Amino acid sequence: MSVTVTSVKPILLVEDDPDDERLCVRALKQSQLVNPVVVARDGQEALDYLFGSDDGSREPAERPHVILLDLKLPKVDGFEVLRRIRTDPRTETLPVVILTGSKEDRDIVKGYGLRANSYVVKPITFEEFIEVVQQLKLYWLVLNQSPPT
Amino acid sequence: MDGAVHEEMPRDALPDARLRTANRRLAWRSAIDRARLTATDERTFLQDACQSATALGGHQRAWVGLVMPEQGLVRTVAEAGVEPSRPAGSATAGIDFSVGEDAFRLRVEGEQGTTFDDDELVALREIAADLAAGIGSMRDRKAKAHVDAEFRRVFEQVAEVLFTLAVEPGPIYRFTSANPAFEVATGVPVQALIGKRIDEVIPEPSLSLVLSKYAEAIATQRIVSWREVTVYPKGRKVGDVTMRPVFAPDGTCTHLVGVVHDVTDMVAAEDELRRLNAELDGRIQERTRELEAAVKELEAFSYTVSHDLRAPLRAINGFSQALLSDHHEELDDEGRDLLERVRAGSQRMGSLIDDILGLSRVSRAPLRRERVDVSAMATEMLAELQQQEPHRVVAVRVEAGLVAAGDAALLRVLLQNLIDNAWKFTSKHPAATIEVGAKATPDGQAFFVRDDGAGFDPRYADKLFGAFERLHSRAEFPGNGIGLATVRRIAGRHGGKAWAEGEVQKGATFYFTLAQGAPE
Repeated sequence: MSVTVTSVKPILLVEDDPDDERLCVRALKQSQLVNPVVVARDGQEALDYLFGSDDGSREPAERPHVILLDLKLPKVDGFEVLRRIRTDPRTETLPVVILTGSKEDRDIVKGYGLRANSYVVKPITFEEFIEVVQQLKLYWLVLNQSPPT
Repeated sequence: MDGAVHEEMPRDALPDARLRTANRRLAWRSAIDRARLTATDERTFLQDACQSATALGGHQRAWVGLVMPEQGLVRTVAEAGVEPSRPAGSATAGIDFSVGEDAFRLRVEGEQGTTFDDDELVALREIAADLAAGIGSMRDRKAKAHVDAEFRRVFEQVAEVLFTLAVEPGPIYRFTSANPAFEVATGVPVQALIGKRIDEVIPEPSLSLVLSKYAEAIATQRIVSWREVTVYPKGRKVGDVTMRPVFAPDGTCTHLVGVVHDVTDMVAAEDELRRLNAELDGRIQERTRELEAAVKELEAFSYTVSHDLRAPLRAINGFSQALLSDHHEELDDEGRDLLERVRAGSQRMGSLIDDILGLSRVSRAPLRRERVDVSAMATEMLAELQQQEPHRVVAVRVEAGLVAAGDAALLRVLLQNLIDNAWKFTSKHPAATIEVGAKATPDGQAFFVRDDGAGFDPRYADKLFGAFERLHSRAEFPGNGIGLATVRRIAGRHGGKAWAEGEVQKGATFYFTLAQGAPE
């Protein structure tokens, strides 16, 4: 099996809580991540980043390597963002990891139903948070063979 | 009329005397005929007959007795005339006669000196025959009156409405009779009813139905039954009607005989029952909606707790950690210790939130009953604990063949809690025994997990099952105090219950039941 070199394509973090955003970015940095992290603070921002703005004033930005997607988001929620990603041919194969505070079974089921690649619950302790982010990095940025773009 | 007694008397030879005697006898017989019509009972009739024997028949005395063979005597039924001085030579004649089973005796005594010759004896026999016929007809009349009275009683007292209709060409149906129940039921007076046509009594729309049923009964020559709702002066009546056609020998229908069973109250009761059922149904639906709304609200609440309450905890924990690592040099030992406590506190709150959510999930998850091998489940759990802590010396006794009908996932949570507890509360003893079994209780089969560990004060046995209730300090035994609350809730969801027995340092036994097959 071939292992890709660490990509420098960005990671898209969709997160509305500034505290969680800061903790996540901090954890990513501590895990020696070289990829730039792009943050979208609500669902609409994430969609605009991926598909360009509705009025055509902005083109789609660079395709991310992986998306870390929160579920509870202002304007457009995480499930809707995921549904749009999966129904658009440009993004349907994009790896999406749901990273959320919800441990509810129905959210997990719904997330996988919409073809999320992983579902990860944000841990409360920072040590675990770092652990989780590191594993995500290892898997999605190192081990996993991304689909050709 | 047998057994004539003839007492030999001197013979009277005078022809005009004989004529007078014959006339008197005729008068007597006419009187008997009249008495037969006027008398209301046997005794009066016989009394009248005796009276006329003395008043018209020319006898001094007349007497009728009833022969009572069992007592060997003749009881006087009627008598008239004066007690004769019975001098020698007075004439007496006795005639026996019978009516049905009863034997009577007629005795007449003549004037002193008269005698009874053969002619007179023949005449007396005729008189006796008159008396027998009179008594007989009186008895027939009485019997007939009795039967009539019984029929009338039935007709008047029966709860069912009875009536007859004459069928006249047209056809016109005319009331010929109706019992008092008809009036009670309909409020139509019977007096006013007789002779009226059916269409003058029964209003539409019942009338059309009734007429078609009458026609059907006549055409098919059968009894026809139907339920009828009619508005009478007394109100709306529901009746089960049965109508029988009566035919003349030539095949024309002359009468209809109807019976109506008033089912107004019964139908009203049925309607009321239906209404109550519908109302109950509505209430159940309403309650279900309320319950569903409550469950939805609970779910929304859990979701909020799950999602939103954890976010600030992550911030508290994460930024405390950031402070500790980024500003390590600026903090002294106490400052670092305080921050560690902040982090530990947020961590504990996180685990409490997880426990609350777990408990609420137990209440919300749908229950699926299946056959669960409790023995295998318990054995596996205990083996895993032993593997995690190989230094512990615990004798494990799991009864073979324990089978429960319950939700496998929930039962696993329940059993894990009890077995974890048993393992935990025996941890301070160098050697311990943990037992899993079942026994019969008044609440049905109860499963139990028994240990010989720390036990508890039985005064607090029930407190154990409250959420976040603990009988030991966290320093002594770790835990959030949610395990037994979960156990009780899972048993409850199965329609069963959970309870505990124990003593301090003598171990504890935890029981639970699961109502067999009953839904939640």
